[in-house]
This record gives sequence, structure tokens and C-alpha cells, in this order.
Amino acid sequence: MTGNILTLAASTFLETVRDRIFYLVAVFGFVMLASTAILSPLTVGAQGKIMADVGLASMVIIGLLVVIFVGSSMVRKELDKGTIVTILSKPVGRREYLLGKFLGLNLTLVSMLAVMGLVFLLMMFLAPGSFSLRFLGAIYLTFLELTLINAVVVFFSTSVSPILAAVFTLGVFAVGHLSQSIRDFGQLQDGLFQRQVSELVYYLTPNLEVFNLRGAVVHGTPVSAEHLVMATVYCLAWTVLLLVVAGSIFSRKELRGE
Amino acid sequence: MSTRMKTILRLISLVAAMLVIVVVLRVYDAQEEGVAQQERLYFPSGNFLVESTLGFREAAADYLWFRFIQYYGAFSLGQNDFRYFDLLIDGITKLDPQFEEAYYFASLVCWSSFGDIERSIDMLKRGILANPDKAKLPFQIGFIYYVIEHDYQRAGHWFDVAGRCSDATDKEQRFAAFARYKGGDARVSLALWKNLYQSTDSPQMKELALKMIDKIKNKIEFQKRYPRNFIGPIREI
Repeated sequence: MTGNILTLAASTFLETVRDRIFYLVAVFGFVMLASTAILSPLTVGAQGKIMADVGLASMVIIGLLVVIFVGSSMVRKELDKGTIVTILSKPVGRREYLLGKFLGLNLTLVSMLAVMGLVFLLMMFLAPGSFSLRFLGAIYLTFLELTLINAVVVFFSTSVSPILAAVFTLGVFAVGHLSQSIRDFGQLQDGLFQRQVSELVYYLTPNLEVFNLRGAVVHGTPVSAEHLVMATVYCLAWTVLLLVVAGSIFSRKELRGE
Repeated sequence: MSTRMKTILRLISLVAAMLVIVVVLRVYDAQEEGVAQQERLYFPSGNFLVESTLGFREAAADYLWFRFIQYYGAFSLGQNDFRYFDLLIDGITKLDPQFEEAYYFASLVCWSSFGDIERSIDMLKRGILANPDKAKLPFQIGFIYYVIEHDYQRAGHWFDVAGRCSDATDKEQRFAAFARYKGGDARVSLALWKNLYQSTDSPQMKELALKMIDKIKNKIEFQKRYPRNFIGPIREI
């Protein structure tokens, strides 16, 4: 079983490599260079901060683009090509297939974040007084956030078309960053119903602000080990939940030719 | 039509398309020139920005910071009346409350361009609330009181505050000691110089501290021997 999952993960990873997804890392390098070379005259004493902000935000944006565009069409592509039927005709379960796909895309994410992280740390090292190992905490939290989004896109890709999966995932990303505000807003309402709905929204959507300590890290606040553990557990819980539900939907899905 | 001819035609069409793009942009820019610069700018409130930028608040603050610098540059050239100053600063500092440089620069603009010292200090105090352990902002308040207001007591207080921050250097303590001395608080100044002498690693600073300690001790001694109501010949000390 594990062997099947790992094989599928490896093939998904190789597929993204063949799709030249890693070109996006070059885009990241360019963004980092631009933020230092082109924008530095405009930074007025805040060059290190701006470089760090731009670098960390670019990692999230590039990772999000990869997850959404690759993840949303991952299953559909194989359905259209019919390769999924060949894979599932072998002793590979549907849940294994889905998990393999998820892990493959996550492997792509890890590789991209590792390269982008190295480029980022190198650039920060070259900028006087800007380097700090605290950034590793922020990069790890970015990885957790993107892993959760990966699970969300896998969940949607099993039930709706790629375009809808992409739109819904973007929606979850937006709501995930607003869920605290939605709850706070709900608590200000007079009606009990509104308050309960906002509370429900808060618990039914992933709170992505848990993974957003980029600003604090840039301003020199270290990420505590406790927070890292909490965020990891939170990410794992959501990922397991989404993959289990996605697996249930996918195992009931009617596939052509099977 | 020969292949060569087709290639030439393609090249011509490319150049023509580029020309059209440039001309359209030029016409557009010419039309925009008549409109006041500030009309192009619309800045929503800081609270709205915090919610609408999702997880990219700091990057959005940086973008607004660039706009602010450009806007200030245009204001310096007389191209706008800086009416969006408050909105921009509010946006930047709401998006990234710990953006020290924004408070610092805004304070600088307040007293240098508007001559509004109170607002300038207020801006720095806002920054201190968000960054209570950063020496730069209280030091700047002290500096304003020292250089512009000549209020050495208050300046000394703010230099003291700066000196207690975790990123403080000898500079803050030195300024605090100088300001107290200038403000007539010789005993506090003496204590500060002694403290600086003990804590500094710099030989130059030790030398300066020692010089100031001697000077202040002499002054205190002088004041002791010759109080304000003293009438008579003054002996050499």
C-alpha cells in the first residue's frame, strides 16, 4: 500500500517537473532581485524589511498558484486521458491514488519552497543586517499553509470541475484569512443567530492566519516552538479531515471505462 | 508572395503594432495630464485595507510605502497638495503597525513640511505604542524637544526612555545625560554620565564621560559654595 502511494507521489512530482513548474522559482529569484536592485532607492531605510516582506509573500503567492493550477486539474487530467482507469485497474485503491497525488504535489511544494527559501536566505544574507534564522519559522509556516490549501484543492478536485475547484480553493484561501474577522464581526451583532453563524464559519473554515507570522518574524519576533507545534497539529488535523472526506467522495465517483 | 516578403510584412506589422501601442499610451497620458494628480489616487481606510489584503498585509504596507514616497516626492515638486498624507500613513501603519520607518518619516514630514511639531510627536508616540521596545522613535521625540523646542527636561526624559529599550546604544544615554545637564538637572546628568562610564566599552566614550563627570562635579561644587544668594568675592576652585 505504502509502495503504491509513494510511486504515485513520485510520478506526480515528475509530472510537475516535466510541466516546468520549477520555472516559477526563477520568477521568485527575479522578484527578489527586483525588490533589492530596482526598489531599493524607494525603500528609504526599510530595505531589509521590504525585501523580507516581498520574499515571504512571493513564496506564498507562487506556492498558491502552483497548488491551485496543478492541483485543481490533477485528477481531471487523468480522467480525460483515461490513465486513471489504467492505474486503478491495478491493485491501487482510490484513496491511495488520491493520497499519492496529494503527496506528489506536496513534494513539489517542498522542493520549490526549499529552493526559494535558499534564494531568499542568500539574498537576506547579502543585505547588511537583515539575515536571521527566524525566517525559517516563517517559511515552515508557509509550507503548512500551502499543505492545507493542497488538501483543500484535492478535496474540491474530486467533486467539481477544475475551474470551480480553483475558484473554491481561492475562496477558502480568502475566507481562511478573514475567518477571525468574520467571527469578531459576528460577535458584535445583536442577534444570537448571527453570532452563532459567525462562530460556525470560524470553525468550519481553516483559519489560515495561524500560519501567518510573516510580519512578526520580519520585525524580529521569533516564532515559538509551541506555536510551530500547534500550527503543525492544526494543519495535520485539517489535512486528514479533508483527505478523508475527499477519499469518500472519490471512492463513490463513477469513472468512465472502469 | 515569397517567404522573404512574408517575413518582412510580419516585421512591419509588429513595428506598426508597437507604434500604435506607444501612440495610444501617449494620447492617454496627455489626457491625464490635465487631471490633478491627486484625483488619480484613491486610498481606502486602513481598517478596510487590513481585511482586504488577506494574508499579505505587510507586502501591501510596503506597496503603500512606495506610493507614499513617490507622493511625497511629487509634493516636494509642487505637483500635489499632500491631502492623502493622513490616509496613506493610516493605511501603512494599520497594515503593518510595526513599520518603524513609516512613523519616523511621517513625523519628519510633519515638522519639516507642515511645521506641525505636535502632530510630529503624536506620530512618533503612535509608533511607540506599536513598538515599545525600539529606541529610534523615543529618541526622535527627544531630539525634537532638544533641537526644535529647546525643552531639555522633556528631551532628557525621552532620551531616557530610548536608553531603556533593548536595542539602545551609548548614544541614547549620552544624549539623555547632555539634555539633563542642559536642562539644569546636574545631579541626574552626573548619575547618567557615571552610568555610561560604567557600561560603555568604547574608550572614547569613557574619556568623554570622565570629562563630563569632572565638569559636572565642579559645577555642583561651585553651586554648593556659591548659592544663588551669595554676595562676595569668588575664590578660585
